[in-house]
Amino acid sequence: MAAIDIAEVSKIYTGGVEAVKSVSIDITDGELIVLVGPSGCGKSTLLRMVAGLETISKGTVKIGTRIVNQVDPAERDIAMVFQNYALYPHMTVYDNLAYGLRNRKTPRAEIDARVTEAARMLEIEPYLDRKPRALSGGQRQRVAMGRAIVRKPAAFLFDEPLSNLDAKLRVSMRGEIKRLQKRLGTTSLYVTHDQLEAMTLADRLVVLNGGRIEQIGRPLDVYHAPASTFVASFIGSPAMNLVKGTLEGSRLKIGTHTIELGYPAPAAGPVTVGLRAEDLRPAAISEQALLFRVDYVEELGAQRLVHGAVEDQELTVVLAPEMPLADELAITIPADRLHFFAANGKRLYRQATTGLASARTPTVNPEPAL
Amino acid sequence: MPLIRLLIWVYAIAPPVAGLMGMMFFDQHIGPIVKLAAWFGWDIRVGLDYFDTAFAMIVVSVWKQIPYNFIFFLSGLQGIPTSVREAAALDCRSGLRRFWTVVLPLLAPTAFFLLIINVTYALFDTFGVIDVMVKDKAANNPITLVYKVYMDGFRGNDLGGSSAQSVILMIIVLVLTIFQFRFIERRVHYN
Repeated sequence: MAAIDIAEVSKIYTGGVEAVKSVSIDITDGELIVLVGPSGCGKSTLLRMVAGLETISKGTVKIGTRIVNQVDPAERDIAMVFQNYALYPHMTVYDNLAYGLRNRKTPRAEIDARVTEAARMLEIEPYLDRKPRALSGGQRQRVAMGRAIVRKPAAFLFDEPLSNLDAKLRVSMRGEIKRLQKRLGTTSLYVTHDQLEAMTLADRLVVLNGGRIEQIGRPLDVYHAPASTFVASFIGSPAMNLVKGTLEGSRLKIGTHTIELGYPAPAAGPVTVGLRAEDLRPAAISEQALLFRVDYVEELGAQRLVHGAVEDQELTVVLAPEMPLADELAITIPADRLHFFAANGKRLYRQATTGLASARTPTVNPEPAL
Repeated sequence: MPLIRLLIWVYAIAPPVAGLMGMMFFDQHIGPIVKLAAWFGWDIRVGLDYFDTAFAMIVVSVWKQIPYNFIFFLSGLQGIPTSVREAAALDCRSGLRRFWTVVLPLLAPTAFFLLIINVTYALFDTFGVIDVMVKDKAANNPITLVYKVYMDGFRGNDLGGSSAQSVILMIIVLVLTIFQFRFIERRVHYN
């Protein structure tokens, strides 16, 4: 168990392509950090640099108190779970688990004890004598986890470990990983492109885009106060609606509609306005309400995603399934649930209180809805 | 990498041509291998000395089969998933040990296939090389059973003896193949 300190790490490939650009992350002991971002954002490269499978072009990676830039992957005291499991196909499950320990000259009795314990924990005891090809995807995934656990490493590295599983198994394995990680208390670095997986697993999220960190924070902080339009559109499903608007004093104009903010606007002039689909709610037709033209509806059972537009700007609204739909609806949003972004995509924080705190405090809608 | 793949073209050389090229390497007057051996005090005389002739035959036959084996081992190595090799790199520090415990076992299907191909090659396809090497030489040169079947039957006009030998040849090949599949394939893990 150890803290991991990633300090200004860059990856520059021959040819000058910079996959990771001066990334710094402080991971405390026992924390589960999720690196999330679209494909090609450098998240896997960063993980592989920590593992030692890629060289570090610039910066330092520290595991515990030791700088590991030049340390052999096998000596870094880490264990990795790969996307396609990477089990040794010619070894039985038992040998797969024991391989790393045998190479470290662990006494036979100790190997046996650790493998048995890990197998019990992961419920793979009946398969210890089987070869990986005789296992299902979920069982292989467990063996891959077991191989990491038996080593009792300072840190676990997960490289999209669930993306080869079907949706149902993914949900249950997700829970299992979280439970195991908490129980073992091992520092973990987890890479995924699935924002839902990131939200549910992470102690802290690191959102990466184009090799740079867009935001680091606890899942809910990132959700409620995205630092940029990229984070806003990446975290949360359905994605946050981003529309063009204009701020004038304490008023927000979206098309021909005007919303009274009730607090001084963080900027003046044209901005990008972020509205979460679930913050939008139906209202009586009034000055404050936006006139929403319904385009099509996605039924999810528990809720309904209504896609449409306010004037020429597309929006998605989450509505209760029992609510009757018309071709045009009046919708409104509490003013404190609005997010503002400058032209460069960065979040505009409100004065007085910090954007983070105010966005997280659940405040009652000053406008009575309906 | 594409350049390396050109190596398989050597496989396209017909055995008699390979035999001829080999003969030049082992020529008394111009053969570079003969000169090289002479530095170490070894006077190679192909066609006169039984051992030297066998040596030349083996070198030429093996030389012709190396690229074929090389290509298959190369594709076998490329067939081992990178992530498995990386997982091994995290589990085992010593590269040599990793090779013995992970890479080589995963190459076993390729090696098994090549074993069968190479045994067949040694038994049958070396005919051309041997023919070129010993045809115009005095008797008592090393030859394979296949070549002896041909010599006795078509040069010596002993069809009966030749037929009997070919039956023995068939039994040998049969036993070898059964042995390979029964006892060696058992240690092979296909993915």
